[in-house]
Amino acid sequence: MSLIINAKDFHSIQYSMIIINETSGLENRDIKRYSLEELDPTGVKLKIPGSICQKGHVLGVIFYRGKRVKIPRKIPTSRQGGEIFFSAIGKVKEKFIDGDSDQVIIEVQFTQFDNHTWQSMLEEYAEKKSQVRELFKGMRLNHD
Amino acid sequence: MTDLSKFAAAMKVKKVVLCSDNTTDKSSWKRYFVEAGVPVAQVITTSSFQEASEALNKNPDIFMTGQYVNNQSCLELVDRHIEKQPDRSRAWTFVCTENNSLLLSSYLAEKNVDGIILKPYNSQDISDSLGPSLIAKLEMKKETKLYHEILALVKTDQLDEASEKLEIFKKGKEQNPYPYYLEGLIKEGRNNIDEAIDLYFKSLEFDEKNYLVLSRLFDLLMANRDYEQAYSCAEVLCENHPINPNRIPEMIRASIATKNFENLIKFCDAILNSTGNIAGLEKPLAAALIVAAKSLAMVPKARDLVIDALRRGVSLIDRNSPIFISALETFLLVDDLAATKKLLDEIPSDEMDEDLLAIDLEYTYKSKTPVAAFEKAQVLVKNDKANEKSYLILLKAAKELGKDSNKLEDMAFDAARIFPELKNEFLNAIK
Repeated sequence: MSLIINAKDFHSIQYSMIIINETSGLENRDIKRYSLEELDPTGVKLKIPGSICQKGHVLGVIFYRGKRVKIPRKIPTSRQGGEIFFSAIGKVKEKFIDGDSDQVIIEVQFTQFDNHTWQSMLEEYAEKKSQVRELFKGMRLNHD
Repeated sequence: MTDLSKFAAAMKVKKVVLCSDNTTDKSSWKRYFVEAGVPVAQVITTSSFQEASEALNKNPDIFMTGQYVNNQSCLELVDRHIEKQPDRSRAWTFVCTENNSLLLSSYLAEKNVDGIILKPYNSQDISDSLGPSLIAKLEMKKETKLYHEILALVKTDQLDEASEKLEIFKKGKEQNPYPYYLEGLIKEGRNNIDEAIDLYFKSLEFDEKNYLVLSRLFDLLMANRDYEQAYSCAEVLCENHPINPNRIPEMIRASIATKNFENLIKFCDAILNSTGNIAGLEKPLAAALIVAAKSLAMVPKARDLVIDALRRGVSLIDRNSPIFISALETFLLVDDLAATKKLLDEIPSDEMDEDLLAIDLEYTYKSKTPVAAFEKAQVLVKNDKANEKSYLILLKAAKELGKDSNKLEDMAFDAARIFPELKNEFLNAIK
């Protein structure tokens, strides 16, 4: 007899980000105040502090796997390797104020990025969503 | 009802409460419901636990909330909405969260939450996550509605009415698990636990992997202390479904009660090796690992497994926990003196209580000379810091040092004056 569990059931997909404003040259590491709002095939919608960028600015967006990652003091010039999962350069296409907060929503359109890695990230999220929907479907309809 | 206009007509009478501290969330959820047919005036958006709590007093048909709003968990509001709308054929509760582990989903699904939106999401994701549940209930067959009505009657303790409706529901469903499940719930409500258990087992004959039945049966068997059968249920649950994290401590208890120690260590390892959040499970996991290790300590072939389990266990707990003492005792039991010393060195000697001092003494006894142990034990006795274990070591060390038999007897009787119930053990130690 054994209790077989799937360790993957415990897994939650999480990424941390840092943003480098290529236009102003400033790097922002306030990762707790970043959140991923929406993923697109060639871009991303982020919620960030309002002071980081303006519409039209060019940003470097670097993704690390996990929520509590140790981000090295110096980001490699290549923006690859080490703990970096994905990096992209993109343009701020839109910037909206998010209610009363000092946060804004920005839409970044990627111009330089590794499409293969980005697609794998999109697929990872899509698969998780599909698993969750299946779980709810299984509980909801099996008496119909 | 399959076309959009009928769907919109059904949604037109629904009242919706939304709760999030994120403006984008609120506007995209609102847009979804308004496009689905709910009039704008019937969609209340709230930005805090308190506001949502007040809005729930209006008994909305649909409640949708972020798991956390302004860093406050809103799962209590989820519970409240489900409780206020016990007939789940007419109400919907949705949660939006960043935590996409299947454990949370399983936990929420078991609460009767209708769907989850996982962040990050787009408008299609909202539609994919909410749509099937909305449509399923709006198009619900009569007998499924009846199933929900009976569940609601059970939840609200209207057991006679539930029984009456069950008789209608049962017709033609001799091979279906749900009539037996519902009857089991009614029996449980009437406190006929044995009959309820029999009915759940009967239900499993028609769907052996049914999550609802298995989880209900597991909880009931655990409450009834039928650990063997509970463990078997847990096996089927674990093998076929993501586990509700709230059930993990009970699964650990079932494993301990059935002495499935090696499997328990593997179970805990699998949880600890996962990259997900195990917050709140540290203590039960540590206790499970240490209890399992202690139980396997005398099995010679299990030494490596025991030591590994102990190391993982102690890494999860603080140093003033009773489980920590148990871990140290087990390290000594399997003669892992290096690990014992390393852990003892973490505690300043002036902060050690009698239990820890006894372990420190046993470490000295095992790793150094009887003289060193004897002298250390005498200091403990003199300072009134010796527990029964320290007295036993004092006596053993004194005997090994060849102390005179009268002196040994005096020492044993001194010990027995403090721990009278252990007199024979003390006298045996000097024989």
